[in-house]
Amino acid sequence: MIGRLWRALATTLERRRFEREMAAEMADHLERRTEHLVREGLPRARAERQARLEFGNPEALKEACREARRLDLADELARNLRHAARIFARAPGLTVAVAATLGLGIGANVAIFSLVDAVLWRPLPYPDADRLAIVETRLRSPSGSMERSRRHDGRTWEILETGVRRLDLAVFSSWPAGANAVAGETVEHLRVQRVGAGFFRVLGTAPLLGREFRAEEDVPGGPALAILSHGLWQRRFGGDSRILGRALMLRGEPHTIVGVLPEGLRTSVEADLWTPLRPSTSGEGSGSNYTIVGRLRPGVSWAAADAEVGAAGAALTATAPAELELRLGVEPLQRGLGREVRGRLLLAWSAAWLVLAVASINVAGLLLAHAARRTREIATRMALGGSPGAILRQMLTESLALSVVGGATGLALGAGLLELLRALAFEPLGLWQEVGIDSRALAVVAGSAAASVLLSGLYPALRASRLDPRAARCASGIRVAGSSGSWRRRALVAAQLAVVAALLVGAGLLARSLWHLQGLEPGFDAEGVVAASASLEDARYGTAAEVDRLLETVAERLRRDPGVAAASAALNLPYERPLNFPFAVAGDADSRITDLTYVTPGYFETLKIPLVRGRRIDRRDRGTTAPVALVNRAFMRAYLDDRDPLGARLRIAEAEREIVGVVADTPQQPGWGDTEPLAVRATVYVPVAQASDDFLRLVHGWFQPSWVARPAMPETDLAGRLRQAVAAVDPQLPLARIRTLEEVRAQALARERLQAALAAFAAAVALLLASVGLAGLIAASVSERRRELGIRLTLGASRLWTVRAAALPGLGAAGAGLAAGLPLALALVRGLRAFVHGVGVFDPVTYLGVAMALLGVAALASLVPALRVLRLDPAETLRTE
Amino acid sequence: MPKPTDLLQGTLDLLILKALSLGPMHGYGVLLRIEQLSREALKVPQGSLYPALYRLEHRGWITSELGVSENNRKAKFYSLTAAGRRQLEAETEQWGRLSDAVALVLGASKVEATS
Repeated sequence: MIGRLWRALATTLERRRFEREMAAEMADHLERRTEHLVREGLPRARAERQARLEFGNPEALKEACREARRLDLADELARNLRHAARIFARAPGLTVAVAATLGLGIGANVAIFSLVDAVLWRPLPYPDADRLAIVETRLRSPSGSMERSRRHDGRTWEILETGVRRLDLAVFSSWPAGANAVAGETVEHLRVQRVGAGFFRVLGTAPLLGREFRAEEDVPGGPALAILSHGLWQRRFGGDSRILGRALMLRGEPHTIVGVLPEGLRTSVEADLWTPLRPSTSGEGSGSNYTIVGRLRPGVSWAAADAEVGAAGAALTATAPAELELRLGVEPLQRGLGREVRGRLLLAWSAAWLVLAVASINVAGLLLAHAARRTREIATRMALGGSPGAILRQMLTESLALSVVGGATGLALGAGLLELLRALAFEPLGLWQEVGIDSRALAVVAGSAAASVLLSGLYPALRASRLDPRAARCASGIRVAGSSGSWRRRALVAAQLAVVAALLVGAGLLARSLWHLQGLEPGFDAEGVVAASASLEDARYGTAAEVDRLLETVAERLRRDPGVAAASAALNLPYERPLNFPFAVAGDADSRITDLTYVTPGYFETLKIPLVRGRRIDRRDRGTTAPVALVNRAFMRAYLDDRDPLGARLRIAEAEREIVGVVADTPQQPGWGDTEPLAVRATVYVPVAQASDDFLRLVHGWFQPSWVARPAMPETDLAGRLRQAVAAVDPQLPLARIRTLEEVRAQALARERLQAALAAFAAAVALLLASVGLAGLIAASVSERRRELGIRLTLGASRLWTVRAAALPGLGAAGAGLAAGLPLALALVRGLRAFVHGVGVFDPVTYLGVAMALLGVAALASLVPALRVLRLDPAETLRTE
Repeated sequence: MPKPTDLLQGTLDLLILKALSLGPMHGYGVLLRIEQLSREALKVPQGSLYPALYRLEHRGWITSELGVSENNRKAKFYSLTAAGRRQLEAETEQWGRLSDAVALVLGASKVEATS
């Protein structure tokens, strides 16, 4: 058959040569015939005429020859397709079931594939994207793992900018912002990203109009400029070609438009416009708020670039303890971006493949049952002379038609699912490119549709083609009890349920983990609380007195505002990443590590963190009075053996402090050596007024303190008031970020939510598919066993018993599936260890829940079709065949 | 001379294969050879020859290539492939069995039919 396909193809491609040769051959034939006739004595003219007459119409002949080349294959294909269409028209239930089943499996696959592809594999949409690098800080945590951080401060940028030659570097802000823009009469909220000079050059894109920011403009105090995205340019300015030089009001300040970017360009965020970053080493630049990317210069290897960056950054990392192995380095941009989420995405994709496997098994079962019903038709066809090969080809053609239908449905469902994922899940992934159904995704759709249908159709097709016509004709209709093929179907359903069980266990564990994380007692009341952080790594705040004055004065101003119920400040907030600091219990020689944060008076009241024992930090605690500290309950449990802590003394932050109170626990993000995204940790609180100058200078290099405020009324614009209060006290101090505490928490858990949602979706789809398969199995079984069940009813069996007998195979299959699926789950679940928190991966509650859910659903799926038994009229089933 | 019998398509294929088994030949030559071998009893209608040849080539039983004929003229020559040889054997055997069966029926007397 391959040969024929090949020759048909060759004929089509080499049409002209084929025609030429054919014409030559015909002409040659005519000549020879003419010669022959001439030799027999005819005059030439008559011979020619006779030869032509004998030959017949040459065009008709040529047409017949052309058909002979293509006839077999194309004609057979057309016939098979027509036949397939008739078959499916007569069994609409089958077609819809297959389309829906495949659609779900393929849809899930293509949606998740598009996501995974965009993050991990598809090359970034910039020229020579494999030469793009991202700068990271690497350090080895106490637990032994390598941690990487991609955010840097202004000093790092300064050092790298001057010291690194092998890369063309550019810096941009890690945090996208929104801003209100006024142009003409309209006010619109736009997404703004701040980028340094040369950013677009590094990416490899030249602006469509104008230019990008120059190095001399991109400095503190430089001009207010803007570069527009193509979309914004078209939308707001109508694609006006004289846009350069016009002004756009942004945050109340006019920005001159100096450039427009080409269509389709996006960076790590979908920004509408870009403004200069103005990197500095103070203010925002003193915190880790910058991301540095670069492009390897021609001929530079990755190793060389990494070495140069490490050497240039040595000045920054030299002061760190050696065991941290702290150093700067570069990594390919795409790999670096995907690193964190790689594991999760691949996990999600594996789940999608499992769903497709379940769907394929379903389809196989459906096709098997369908083929069983057609035994008569196939037997007749074989008796009339159809070869097994022809039957096989026909059934495969039917499978092909189904795969097209299934693929189309899958594409539609996949597109919809992708939109759903987009709404739920893209934020935490920080995508640098568009995610959509592109040609690669289409290839995946086509491939998986064809593969799954052909695989699932192959077995029924082979069985059908090996049918013994006589046996089939005789045997049909007189089966009394069971049928030989049904054990295979039951095995298929059991296999499906095993896969479903494994998926359910995974989803259940992830869901419980998320539940645990979200249910972590916040330990405070987060409603409405807004936090504004600012960087104090600034010469003006080098002493504790100055820091205290700033923090307290702003907090005081806020408290005087009637819209604010309470305000204070702290170094680290709940749900944030905390400061780890060494300490020792007085009298102990051992130095250990705990979380440490400083607060201003009123902090615990602002957040409504309950006081458990003793007193809170208040105005009494000044630099001149005895140093004090508060601890939380976790600290008590971990380090004080739950003894009464009041009066105990700790050596921490260059002072020996007395513990005067205990507060409730609040969850924090992990420091080093932790894997849980949120957990309760031992924490010590000290008053900022009692911190030393050196301590503050040190910690302000790593963290940005925040003011927190609770609104008196829900509508209060806390963000605005915070800005005003800070600006009134220090107009030179920019606020780095303003967020609600709910946002902080959501950000901390975003990835876990995404993962749990994906797993739950996959498991739900698989369960649905398996139930449909099970229901189909029972329905078919009831159909087949009508006679047997009818006889039993006649012989006096109760209807209840009969229903149970009809449904029992389904439960049996479910039991078998569970028995196989739980060990499968146990084996696979090891891979989930890193993602499951708060519960062990062998958590019995989850497994029990899955078993019950599976059996419950299976019971339902078996009972519904089994109820058809109630409609059986025993006398009728005995009479008919 | 008895009227040349009409040939079924399958039978024509068989004859062409046999003709080519005796050596490669161009289209007209195959026609002549069948005529000769059947002692003029079988005259292949020219309208059926070439479609049959093309069809046989499509199924891989014969193959063609350009060659030079006896009077130095360029022509397309057909020859049998290995698969074609096997097909020839199979169909020859089938034909033998068929003709035996037909002969049996035709030779049956009234007695045999009713017993």
